[in-house]
Amino acid sequence: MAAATGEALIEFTNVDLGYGSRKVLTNINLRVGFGDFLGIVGPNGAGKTTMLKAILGLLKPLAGDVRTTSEGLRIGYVPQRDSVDSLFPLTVMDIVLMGRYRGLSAIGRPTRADKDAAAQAIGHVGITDLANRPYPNLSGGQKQRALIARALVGKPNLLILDEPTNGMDLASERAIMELVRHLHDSDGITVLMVSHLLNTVVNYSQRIAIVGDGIIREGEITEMITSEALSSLYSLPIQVLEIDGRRVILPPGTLEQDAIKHAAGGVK
Amino acid sequence: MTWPELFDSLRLNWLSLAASLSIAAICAYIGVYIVLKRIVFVGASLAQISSAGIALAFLLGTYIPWVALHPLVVSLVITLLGTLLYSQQTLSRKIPQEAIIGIGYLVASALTVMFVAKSPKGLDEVNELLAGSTVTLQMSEFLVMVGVFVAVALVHGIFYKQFLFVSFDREMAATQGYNTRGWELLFYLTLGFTISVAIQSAGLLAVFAYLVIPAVTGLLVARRMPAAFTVAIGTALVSTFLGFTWALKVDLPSSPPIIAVAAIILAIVWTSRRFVHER
Repeated sequence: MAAATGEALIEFTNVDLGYGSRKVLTNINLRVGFGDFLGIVGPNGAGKTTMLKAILGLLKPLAGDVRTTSEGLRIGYVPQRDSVDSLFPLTVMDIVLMGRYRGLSAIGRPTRADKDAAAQAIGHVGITDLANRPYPNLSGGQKQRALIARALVGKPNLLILDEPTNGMDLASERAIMELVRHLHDSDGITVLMVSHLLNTVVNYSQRIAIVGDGIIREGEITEMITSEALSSLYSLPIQVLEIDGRRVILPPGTLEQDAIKHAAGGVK
Repeated sequence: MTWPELFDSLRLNWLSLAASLSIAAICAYIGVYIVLKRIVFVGASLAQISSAGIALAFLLGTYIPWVALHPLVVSLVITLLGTLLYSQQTLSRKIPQEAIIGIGYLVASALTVMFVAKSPKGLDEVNELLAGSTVTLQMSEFLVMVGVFVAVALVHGIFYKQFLFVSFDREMAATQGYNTRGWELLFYLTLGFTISVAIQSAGLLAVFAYLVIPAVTGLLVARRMPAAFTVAIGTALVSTFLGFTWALKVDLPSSPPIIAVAAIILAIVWTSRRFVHER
């Protein structure tokens, strides 16, 4: 696993974010260090996307300071799969090559080296056999791998994933998350993942940032993911259990939570 | 009309055939983006706005005769204003973009009728210009048209990757440092120039058809972007040649037969594709 160093890859200090005069998040203090695996979670509409846009540089802060590493921030961005248009007749190779466009001149075309790098990235995410397959014909998991390959081909030092497992079945979700974990652990890439799937985030991230009530609270999973904290955030009685070393978050109404209440004599 | 007479007629009308083929090729190319970007009605609306510009030029010609002699200038200015409006992705948080496009189309249609009604030119003459007529095209006009189309094609050829990237995944392009608003605006400007110039010769109906039907045909069969462009341009050129010849043979205006041929090709491709898939 990559060790975090003293310098931050990106650091928000007392930052306010919003649109026009409307503030969505206030007084954000967030530090993403080298080698981090940070999950950003929160209820719908809490400001996760706003936060993400600010990190990507698509939204300027209303106030505060955003600093990036002196060695240069190279972001590999994996957008939500559904936001990528499946109407375009593009192959996996075409899409992955887009990740190399930044390095080309305004009128430059991808070179042999760019194509080799794209092929390498495609191989790295395990879809070499799909390189020339039309992107619209791929399954959800394959599309996600193609988008991760596009993010990797630019040799990023920060990989940002927006809802990477949204709408996937359990097997595909696990496969994608294992791939992300491998990229973090073996390749030393700093990972920042936005997701509303708490169970996924808490079992793969090292640290977590919870977006809610116009602020962001950041810390270690153990201190942030507690029944009390989540119940307060979502205004629901939420249980956090640990089973075989993995955290399981149970919303109200699930059989398991009812069973816990029964055991505690809480349900008549 | 006998076949030798038809051949002679084609030879006599070579300039208007060449103009139609040029319009077909450039509109089919840009049409691929229009269909993929789901802005088909922007094409229709801009074509209508361009027509309103032509009608306005004839109305203004009462006071400024030069304007009536060069309606393209007014049409171009009006169309470019329309492109500036439509290239803005979020004009209003409350009103959907397609509603704004629809309003633009309706207002332009109403203004066209009003301008034509008050135009000092003969109604038939104005209507003919709005419907488009490559038959009356002069060599100088043809050269201007081809010049504009070559410039548009060059811009698209040189900045292919930018147009593709911004159209396909605007957010990702922005994270890569692309000025997405700027590239969108440039795309819309090329669209505005193309429509303004094309509509003078081919008319509203044909230009709109060229922007949509060949592109859909191309996208139905192609698995790669270059193939989609090639098939779109190819079917547009074939439709134009066959439709133009058909129009000469049975003495019809050229646009309807060209559109009919393009639609028949699309229907054949669509049906064959379904048949192949079902098997």
